[in-house]
Amino acid sequence: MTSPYIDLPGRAFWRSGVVDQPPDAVQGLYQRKFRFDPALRFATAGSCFAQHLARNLRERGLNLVDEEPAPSGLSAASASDFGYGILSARYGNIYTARQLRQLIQETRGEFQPADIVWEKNGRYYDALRPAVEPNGLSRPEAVLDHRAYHLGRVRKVFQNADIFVFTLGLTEAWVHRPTGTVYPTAPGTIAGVVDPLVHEFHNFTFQEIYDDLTNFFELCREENPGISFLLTVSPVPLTATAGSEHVLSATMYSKSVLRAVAGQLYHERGDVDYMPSYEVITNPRAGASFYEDNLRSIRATGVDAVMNMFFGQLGETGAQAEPRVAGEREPAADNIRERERVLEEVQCEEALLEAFAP
Amino acid sequence: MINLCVLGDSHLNAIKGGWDLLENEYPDLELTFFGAGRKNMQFLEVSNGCLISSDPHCANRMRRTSNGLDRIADDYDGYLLCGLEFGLHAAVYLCMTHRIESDEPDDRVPVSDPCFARAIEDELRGTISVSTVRKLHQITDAPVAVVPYPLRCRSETIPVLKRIRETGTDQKVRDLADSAATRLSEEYGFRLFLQPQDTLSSPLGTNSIYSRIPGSNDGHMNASYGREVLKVVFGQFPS
Repeated sequence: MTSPYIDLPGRAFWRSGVVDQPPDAVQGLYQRKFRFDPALRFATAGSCFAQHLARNLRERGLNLVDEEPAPSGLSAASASDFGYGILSARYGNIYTARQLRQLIQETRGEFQPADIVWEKNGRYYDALRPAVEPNGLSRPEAVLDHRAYHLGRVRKVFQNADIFVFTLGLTEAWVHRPTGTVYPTAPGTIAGVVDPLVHEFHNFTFQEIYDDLTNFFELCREENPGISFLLTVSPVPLTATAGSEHVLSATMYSKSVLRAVAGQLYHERGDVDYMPSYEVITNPRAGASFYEDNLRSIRATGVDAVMNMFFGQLGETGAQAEPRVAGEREPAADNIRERERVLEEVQCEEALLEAFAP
Repeated sequence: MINLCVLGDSHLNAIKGGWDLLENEYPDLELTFFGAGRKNMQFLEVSNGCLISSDPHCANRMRRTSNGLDRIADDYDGYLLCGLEFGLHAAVYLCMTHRIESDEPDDRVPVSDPCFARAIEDELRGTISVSTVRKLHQITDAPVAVVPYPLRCRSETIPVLKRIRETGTDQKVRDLADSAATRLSEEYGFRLFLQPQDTLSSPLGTNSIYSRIPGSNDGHMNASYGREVLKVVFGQFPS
């Protein structure tokens, strides 16, 4: 009787698959499920780690959907301060599957979040994306107005993407008890005030996250039947836990649950792929070398290892030379500006010389 | 005698024309003009305590407008920069596509007031004017002032600008732009002379009587405009 392990490839064994592999290039770790066409439009969302993925996808020339481009004139640094150019829309970090599900429901008019205008020092913030306006807005009405516009753009993200990349970050969240609205940060952290009668801590279970993601996938496919999904688990540990366990245990629980959900969906659904970012960063062979000294932030070398693994699956064609950002074209005003600029340059010399003619 | 160095692009035309109208009223003031096309003026370099142009075309223009000088010396009593990409037109273009917080909802993209102001600030920071200010600070401690591009005369002809004029939002746009420009003047250490109120037909438009080509929406103004600007400048600069 021969062993069922006898003909397995090297990646099936710990020694050959992990110990003997360079941690920044583990062979066979990721085998893509979908055929990758460089012309595919990628949309990104998720926790902090999603920002790394988005930046790298953009820098490496993939077509990254951006339905809320920055206003003209804003520098790259300023754009980032205001939540532009980071992910596929200005939704800020989306840490939980429930938050993602509620977002797509909200874009479709199927969910109305509660208590979404938070105040701090006389300025008002969108509670579901408080970091996108560092100075807040002047009136609560402006928050609602801006959010209404934002939701329209988010819906376009779902409609225009070919592959939606979601980075699962947390299982812990703060919830508006009466309505179930999930916030990305606890009230009082950036703005707002925590009210124990209204806000409660919740640690989402495997089943809840599984159901949330499944529901999200179905709603997304109603918006865009051809869309596929790429899940990954953020390797960034919890900054803090509001649960009763030690943060190390809480982190292990969160990541384990998220990984299990991602794995189950990967095996069950043909439209879901899984990219092992978490495995790359936490690989024991790497020690903690892919983490900064705070053992939370991911070093550039770690992000590169993840992206090299991903792009290794794109094949020789790699990425397009010219990145294309999906989204609406600039309105006609830009044509006015360009026309006037050209006219002005043509007229420039002539106008200058007039006054200095002998 | 107070010697002022006046640098600029095509908009120097109006300033020179204004000086021609005012010269006799300021017998103790002497202006030396250095002008070239906007893009050419970016080639000014610091060299031996002066500014020179590494671009032959620019150098030629500057010689022509200064009556033969081939360098901008460090011994002027003040330096006045005219235009060189610095202007509030960026705010006008931006408000055609983006609406600020107090604007009525329409098909433009909503943007927060701080973000709007930051966009203007970032755009102005990248101008040839600001880079020239920094170069001048390398050669002289004399005061430096900036006169922005005039606003165009055509605000009434653009539907969205007409609309925000009717709602009064144009003044708020103007306020945001002014504050952005003022912040930059403080950051880079120059005097900022915003467009004289008397030359405006609206917060975002110049009175068409000052247009270089009557009846057109040309962004260049005439000598009368230049005179109005210089009257304000001379009242406060250099001091």
